[in-house]
Amino acid sequence: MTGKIILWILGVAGLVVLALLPLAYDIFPFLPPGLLNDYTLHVLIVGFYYAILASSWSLLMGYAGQFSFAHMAFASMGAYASGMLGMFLGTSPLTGIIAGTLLAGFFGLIIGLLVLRLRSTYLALFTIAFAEIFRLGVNAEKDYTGGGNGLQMDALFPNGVDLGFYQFDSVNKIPPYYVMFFLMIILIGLMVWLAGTRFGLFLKSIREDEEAAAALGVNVVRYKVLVFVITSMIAGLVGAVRGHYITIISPNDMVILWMSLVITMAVLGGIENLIAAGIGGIVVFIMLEFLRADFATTTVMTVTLTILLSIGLYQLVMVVARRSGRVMKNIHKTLAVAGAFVVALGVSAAIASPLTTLISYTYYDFSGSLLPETIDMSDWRLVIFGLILMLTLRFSQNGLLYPIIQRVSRTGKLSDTVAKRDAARAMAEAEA
Amino acid sequence: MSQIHLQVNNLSKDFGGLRAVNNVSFEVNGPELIGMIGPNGAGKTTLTNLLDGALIPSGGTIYLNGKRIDGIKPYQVARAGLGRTFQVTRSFRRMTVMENLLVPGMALHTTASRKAQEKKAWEVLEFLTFEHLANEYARSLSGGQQKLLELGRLLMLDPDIIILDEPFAGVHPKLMEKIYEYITTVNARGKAFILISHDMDTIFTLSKRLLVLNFGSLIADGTPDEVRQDPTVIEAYLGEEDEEYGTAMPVVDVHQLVEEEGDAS
Repeated sequence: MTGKIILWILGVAGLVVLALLPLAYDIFPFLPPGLLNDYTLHVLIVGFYYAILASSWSLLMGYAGQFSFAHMAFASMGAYASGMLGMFLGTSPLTGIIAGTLLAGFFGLIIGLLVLRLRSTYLALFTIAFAEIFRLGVNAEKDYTGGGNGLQMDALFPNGVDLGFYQFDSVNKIPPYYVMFFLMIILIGLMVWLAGTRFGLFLKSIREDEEAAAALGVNVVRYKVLVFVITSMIAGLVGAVRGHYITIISPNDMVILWMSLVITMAVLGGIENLIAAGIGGIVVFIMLEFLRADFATTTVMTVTLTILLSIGLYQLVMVVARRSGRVMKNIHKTLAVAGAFVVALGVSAAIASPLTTLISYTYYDFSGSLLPETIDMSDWRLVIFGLILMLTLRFSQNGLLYPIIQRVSRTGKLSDTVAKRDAARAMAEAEA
Repeated sequence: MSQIHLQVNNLSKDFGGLRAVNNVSFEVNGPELIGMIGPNGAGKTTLTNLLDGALIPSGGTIYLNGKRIDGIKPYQVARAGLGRTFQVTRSFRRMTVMENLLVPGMALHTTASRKAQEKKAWEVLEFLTFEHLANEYARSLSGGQQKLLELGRLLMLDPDIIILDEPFAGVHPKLMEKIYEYITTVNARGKAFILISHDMDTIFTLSKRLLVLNFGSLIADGTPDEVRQDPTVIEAYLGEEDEEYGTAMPVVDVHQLVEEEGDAS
């Protein structure tokens, strides 16, 4: 019980902080300048966008077990529909967004019907094919879609927002921030609610065993198609809103790389929990932007050395402890981890710079050029996330965040279960 | 309670050139306890899949309580009152025991509240003596417990006719007793059973009536005693006529069997 309350408090506090963030300087004038600017808001707006995508993909994959690569294509479809309506018919962004949502839902229905008989690998292949066909089609139809140059879209609020006491112009980040923020709360809230109803229950049974679910009276076809329609509509909706916020949509926004990123977000958060997947979306996107800054070679060296050394030191302590016959309690282990980390950090900081220089000169002998002073992170950051994804899939299939949430929410529940089980066992023994 | 009536007329199923089920006709009247036996590949599971709607018959009709159920979807057959288990246990492994039970409950009663179904599920859990496992994931149950869970799901579906495919295969004797008890109790409550099993002792003891399949055809339909005397069955099932067939298909009290094996383990 207490665990659940802690999670609720944390969740509500997080949302309140996010809700008040754009007003931070008005509330706390003493905050250091530069902490919050248009760039920070932009990162969060796109972070919310990815949170919705990752969360809805989790509903599709984590609940219904339908592995789709087409999610990003549906998001772009919403954006293109809205952008083209605006360009050729002069409709307002709101009309365009509604039309984009409906179009994505319609294609979700068609895809849902077409993939009914496809399982796992074949479903993934089918949806990759659909996503690529859509991307290439958009790329080819230059006259209508702008081709590879992308399609210009109206700003989300073309005339700005007039609140009476305050006016925002059309490029101000605050209105789109709140639009995306509330969309995130509403849509993820809607999906969490859905997941708690019979809809979520049946989706899970379909994920586990379609035939068994059907034999128990579940209308498998209806729920499989329905989940495709719902998640496609959500993707189309936020895709269109994001398009109007960025004011351009191009085929590059739906390359497989970005789809993989959504998958990474959902997997790292935990695909069986819609909120965890959403948080995964925000965190991964923020980290991705954070890692965009080029790193000094010595910093990378220090971080790598610290990780390797602390793991090594910790293992050493454990081996020594085992040899000497000491039983390590959890508190000792925690202390060992902390100690190993501090020592490793100190040693690494001391030797990183000379070591980098040394490697740099060895490298010089081989290739004739010195190692660069800084490492270009624009591609390496994706490599880092690729590695994290692989390690997560290998060692923690429920994601990194969801197990923590589960653990906290189950505080006090475990002893309860054990007690119940012991009682049942005692009763069975008494009978026998 | 409405009268249970299943009518199977000239049911056939072809897989390419292979006729897996050939002109099978039989009826189930009221809460009967029927055993279905036959050598491997005789068409028992195919027949089950035809009854359940998983396969569409090549010929013939099936009526359940006056409603035609061949050619309709499995979920509609389930709601019409025919429930089944599978040869291999198919519990929803990454769902809790409670959720496993709620699926058929909520599917059958499209307007029922979750609360009402949960209440019903607790009764089923009590019947299975599973209360302490309600919030465990099905994957953490033993194989036998998962079998019981499948039987529990059928109770939530509340069908008129229950087809159990190999309910005793690979089950601990103590659990076997429990499944045996389940069948007799639920049968006494007015549900018809069709049991498919290779466990001759149990099926001859339990069933009041036996259906014998061979090469897709129904070769015998009668009481265990009649079937035991039937020359076609002896020939087909045992391969040859044998004076001692009686010992090949002995009648052993299951409870006695349970005790013996229980001691051994």
